[in-house]
Amino acid sequence: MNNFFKNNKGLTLVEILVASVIGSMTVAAIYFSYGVFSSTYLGIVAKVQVSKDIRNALTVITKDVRLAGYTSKIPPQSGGISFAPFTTMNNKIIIRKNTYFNANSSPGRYQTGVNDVLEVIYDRDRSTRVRVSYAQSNDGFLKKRLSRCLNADCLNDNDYIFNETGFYDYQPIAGQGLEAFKVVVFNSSGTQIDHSQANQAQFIRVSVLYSSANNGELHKTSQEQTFRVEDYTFSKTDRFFRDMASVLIYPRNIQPTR
Amino acid sequence: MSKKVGLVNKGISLVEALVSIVVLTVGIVSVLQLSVYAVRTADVSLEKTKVNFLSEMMMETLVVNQSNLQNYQLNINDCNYKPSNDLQKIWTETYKNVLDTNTKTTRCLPGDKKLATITNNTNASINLSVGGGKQNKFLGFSKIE
Repeated sequence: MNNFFKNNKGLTLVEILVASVIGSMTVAAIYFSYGVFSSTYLGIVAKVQVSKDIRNALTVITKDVRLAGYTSKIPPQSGGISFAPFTTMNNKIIIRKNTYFNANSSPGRYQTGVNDVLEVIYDRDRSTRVRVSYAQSNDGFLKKRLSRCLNADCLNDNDYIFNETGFYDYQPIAGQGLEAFKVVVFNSSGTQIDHSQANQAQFIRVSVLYSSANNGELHKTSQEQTFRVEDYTFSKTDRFFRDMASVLIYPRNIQPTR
Repeated sequence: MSKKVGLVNKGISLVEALVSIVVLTVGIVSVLQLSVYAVRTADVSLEKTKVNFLSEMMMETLVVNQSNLQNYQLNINDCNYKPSNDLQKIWTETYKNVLDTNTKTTRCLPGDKKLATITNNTNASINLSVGGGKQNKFLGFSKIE
């Protein structure tokens, strides 16, 4: 045993240097890998979030637009209250441009000012007619406002006042990051028509453009991104990740000039 | 015995050190490849979400506009979005905006298809493929007479 310690001469300088180099390379590789894994993870999270926001927004809107014009009350031809589409204040679908919000930009986000507002009216049950509004808010959310009609005929905007909780507020339906919300109307011939001609609508196409919540996980340097959201070309150079999707919806319960 | 231990304990040679570095590098590169694959998977997932919406869009128009079924026959096997009529134009415009937007590098690849096959004016089938034909979505519809 004594010999063991006597023979144990330790490491030479060269051995120590080689070991140091190897150790340094190992630590550097681990450090580099951690950075890559971390940014990759955040990038994937950002992409998944954008995908989820797009899916949520379009799914909820689609459901409401499909219900547009549904009435559970006595039909007009049987003596019930008229729910005729697209009279002045009794539209089943109202599509307004730049009405509610001035679209002030969130920090680092694109200032649009070109977004639409989509309003849909239908009977939720025998006693409740609701009006649902979708619009982009100043803080980058797609927000939904639900209001109930308190009068039996529901002919005026003023008839729709509160939601169930007694308030008249907007609720976010998808994550922050909405940068464009556009609604386009087509007639039965497939021709795009103006928003003011919504009474001829056969199909309604809703498009949303979302950006990631975090800046720079996927694009290390500023990157030019161009999207065509309906009649509007969106172009921005920054480090956010963006994507868009559209859905074409047929409002089943409306009987316009078909 | 103690002497042997002392003699055997010579440390590692340069060759052994280099081999260990190579092995370590291969391992790290493999794991990095995994993260690249994960990013690609997220992209594919996003594309699939879009294709789902697009195929539902096509099916919705077919179901509600059955009297015009024959006008929806569509056979696009390339990246030219050429519609035959205004009804198809709604589809092709949407494809272009959704699938081929951010056009710095086009997302439409050779092998991508947008097909709507109408048979006997009663049956319709839809085939959308993206990612160079790797991701396919099929939907079918039969008119009840």
